[in-house]
Amino acid sequence: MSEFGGMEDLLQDFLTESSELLSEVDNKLVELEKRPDDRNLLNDIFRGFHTIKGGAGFLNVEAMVSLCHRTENLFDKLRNGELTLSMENMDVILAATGEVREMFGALSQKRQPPPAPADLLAALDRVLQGEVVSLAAPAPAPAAPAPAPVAAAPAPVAAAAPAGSEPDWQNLYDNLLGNAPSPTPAPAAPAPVAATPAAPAVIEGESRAVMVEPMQSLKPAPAPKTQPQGGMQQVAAPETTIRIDTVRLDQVLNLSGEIGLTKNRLTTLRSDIMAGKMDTGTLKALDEAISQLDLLVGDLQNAVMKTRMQPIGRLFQKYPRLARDLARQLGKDVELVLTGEETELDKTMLEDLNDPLVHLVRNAVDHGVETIEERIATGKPAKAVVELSATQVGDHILIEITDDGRGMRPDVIRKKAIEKGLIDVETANSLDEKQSLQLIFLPGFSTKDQISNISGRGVGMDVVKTNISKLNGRIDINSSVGEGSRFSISLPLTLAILPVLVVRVCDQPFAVPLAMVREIIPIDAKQVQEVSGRATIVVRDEILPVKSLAGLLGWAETQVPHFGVLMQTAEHSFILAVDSFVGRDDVVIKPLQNIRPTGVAGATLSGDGSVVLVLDMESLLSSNTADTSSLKTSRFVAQAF
Amino acid sequence: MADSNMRFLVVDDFSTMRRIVRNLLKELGFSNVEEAEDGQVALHKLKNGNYEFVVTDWNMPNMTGIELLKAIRADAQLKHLPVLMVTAEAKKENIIEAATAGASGYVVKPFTAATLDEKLKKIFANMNK
Repeated sequence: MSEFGGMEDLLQDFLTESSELLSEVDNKLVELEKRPDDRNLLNDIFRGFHTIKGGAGFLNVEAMVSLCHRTENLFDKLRNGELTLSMENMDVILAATGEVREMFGALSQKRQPPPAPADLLAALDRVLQGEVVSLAAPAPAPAAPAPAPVAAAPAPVAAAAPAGSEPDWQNLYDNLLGNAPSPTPAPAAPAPVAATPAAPAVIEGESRAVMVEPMQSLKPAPAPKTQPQGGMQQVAAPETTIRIDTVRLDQVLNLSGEIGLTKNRLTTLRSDIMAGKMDTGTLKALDEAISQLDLLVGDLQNAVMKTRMQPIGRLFQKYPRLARDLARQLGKDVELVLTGEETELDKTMLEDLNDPLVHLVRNAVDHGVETIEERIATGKPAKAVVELSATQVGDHILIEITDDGRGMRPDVIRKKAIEKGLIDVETANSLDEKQSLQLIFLPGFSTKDQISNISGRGVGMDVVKTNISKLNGRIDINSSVGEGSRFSISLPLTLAILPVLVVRVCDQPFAVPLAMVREIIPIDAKQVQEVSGRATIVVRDEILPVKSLAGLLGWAETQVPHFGVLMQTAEHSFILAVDSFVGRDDVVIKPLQNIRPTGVAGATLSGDGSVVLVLDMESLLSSNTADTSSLKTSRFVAQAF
Repeated sequence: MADSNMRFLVVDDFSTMRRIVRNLLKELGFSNVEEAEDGQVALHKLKNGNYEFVVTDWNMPNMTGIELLKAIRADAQLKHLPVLMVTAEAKKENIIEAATAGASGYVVKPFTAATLDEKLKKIFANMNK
């Protein structure tokens, strides 16, 4: 028989589905710590292990079957009230899920995973017998009683049961049904029907005994793992498959069918028109057909986009476990609360979001939240709450990570940035509080003096920002000292289609991302005020600099700009002065080949077939010094008279 | 030999498992197979389609396999349907429960196409009695 029981083609399906299931189990385990008696949770966790075991059995993944078999039995006893869960044993269980995840890693590389470490299996067996077992926890954990030597552990009941003692199910079954005795030979020994379920070793009616070998014959694990909790560092290859609701797929199919019909209609109309038939009826039909096509193509784009949308919960569900493990390592009490898991996001973005989010969650637990003692001393509840939320706001997704920790002090951050030589004193003094917080995104910034293995490596926050920017997103920080911090990530729904505002300057159209546009205002010369030599306009008590697009592009203005586009980037708001507008449009950006002009994200085609450059405002702004692009007030004043 | 066009309903909450069972059935020449992800969905499908054979998992959310089996046996139209229980529950109590609820057969995971074939043949034979 081949390595995976001849079911290699099912391996990927199994991995995708089981990994999701395991993440759910992990989360439920974290929940279980709060409500150890919750029958539904125990039942769900039992079923999770049970299902994974069942699948692994068909794929001949013996290591996983034997491990999941133990955890399944454990939760069977827990849900039946035969055992009660002690918190110490939680570490053993979590180590087991970590091990299962590692096995998924091996499977994703088409390798059979080695058996689980013998000490883990032994620990599970002892937990199964109602003992309280502590795993040797990583360094900062409270001094654990030394685990009993593995060799001394009593022989586990379930695993030690010899395979031959399994009752002959077929016989039993046939007898119950009153059928003729089964032709399969019954095992000689009178089957001791134990209370403990026998190993899932023997396939009834067959002599082929596969699966679980008794514990004693397990080969020693290749290397004893010092940190069994490392559930998150699996070597996961990027997913190349996607699961789509068939309803969504049917929509795509329906729409492409409809478009086909409309195309047929147009073909007929073309023949008519080419033959000289130009009466009102024909033209009206043409108009209708094109309008319909317009609608259908829009719907099709939407439907195709929807097939790529995945609930963000698939990402979020990995984090409660991460936060819990980290908090335990640090001796903190942290609850990660998830909201808006059903919010959907483009699949590729979801994958690219994982690293930034992992970092931000770690950051919140490590840096954001205080120790239990500190919290009590400042009158806060001992348990810290970190909230991870996702919501759709218009055509954007807003992801927020909020902690109720110590908050960030702008002065401390400025001081650190100066110490690290990232900025000079003069620059530091000119920064306001919000700008100071943004300093943590500078490469090489780390507020921890001691480099820990958790999140104080000084790489990370800058990578977080770079990754978010790559997704056309923004990240903002709000923080108040003593109350906590909030990181807000704003992302477009998809990268495939970009809504833009098309403006004109010097008789040429340019597209700016609509996401950055707050509003459009007429520029009235009388409102333009000069502040330190630069043109500004006060909009609802906010003094905003006016930057001319022609100036930013390095062109001479052909006319005085009449309109301003109030734009907002991560760092600042300003008014982009333009000549006129074309309108809004949804475009597909094509990258420019060979040339990379600064400030241009790519090109797209407008409805009339002409090329429109799509501007990259961030790079356009950073490449310009304020002086060349800021409009001189005199330009407007001259025009006014 | 049973009609290879026989209409099967495979019930399991784990889609990989449904595919496994479907593949095994296909190996045995049965390709008219539909799927349902739990007992509730299955029961709904059974009432609205002409199924001739049910292969169901035991442990599922919403409605378990044993509940589905009981519901089938309690339904005047469905009660004659053969139901094969597929499960990892190799416990005596479970087998007794399945038998008393009227399961036509019982197979323990994991199993091969040959085992499944043997189970199906036995059920077909009993049906023809």
